[in-house]
Amino acid sequence: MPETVSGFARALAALSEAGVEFVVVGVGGINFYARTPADAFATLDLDALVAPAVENLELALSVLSELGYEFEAGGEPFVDLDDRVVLGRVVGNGGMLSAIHAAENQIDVLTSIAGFDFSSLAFDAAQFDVAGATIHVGRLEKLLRSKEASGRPKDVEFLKSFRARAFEDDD
Amino acid sequence: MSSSLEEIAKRIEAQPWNRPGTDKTWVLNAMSNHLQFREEVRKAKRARNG
Repeated sequence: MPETVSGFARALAALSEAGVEFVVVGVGGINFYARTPADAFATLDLDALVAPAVENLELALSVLSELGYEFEAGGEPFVDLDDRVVLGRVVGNGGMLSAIHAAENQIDVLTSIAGFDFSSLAFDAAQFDVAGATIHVGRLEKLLRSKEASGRPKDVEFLKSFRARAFEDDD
Repeated sequence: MSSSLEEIAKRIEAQPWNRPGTDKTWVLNAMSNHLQFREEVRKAKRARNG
């Protein structure tokens, strides 16, 4: 294990060791395929797609809460961490909760993403080691396709940057 | 997805640094360091602007 372990790494390792079913997605997931820190893309948060089951979401929130994270939904505080009716609505709506650590970082806990459901991302996810735990990361091709499918301006810009950087590497 | 992007993805996935089980703790440390740097810059700008 490296000498220093960031809050992001501690959180993902804790989720994995607790048995939470999740796949790292988004720009953070794409960064797992970078060769060096200089190749990683800047992002303000890390996206974790959890298996869309109430028990799984509840476990994820419990683990992150124990690490000092607080939660928001749509910019408002979210405190119903063990209310299965409310969590069921989050899962049913394909919603997202932001887990925010005042001192360190933000992890977006997603129950859906554009273009893929959890199972199709999880079945062939890459497995990497993080702080001694096995972490599942969506296949690079799928993470890029999800960004294409979302159609959000920031994702379109990201894909332009990704493509440009990839072609620079070919030079 | 355009075929070029798909090919790029497959080529990157096949690189030796992306073998299953590779230690990627450094990726998360790099992301965290970047955020800390942004926060320091933000604080410095606020202090400078009074």
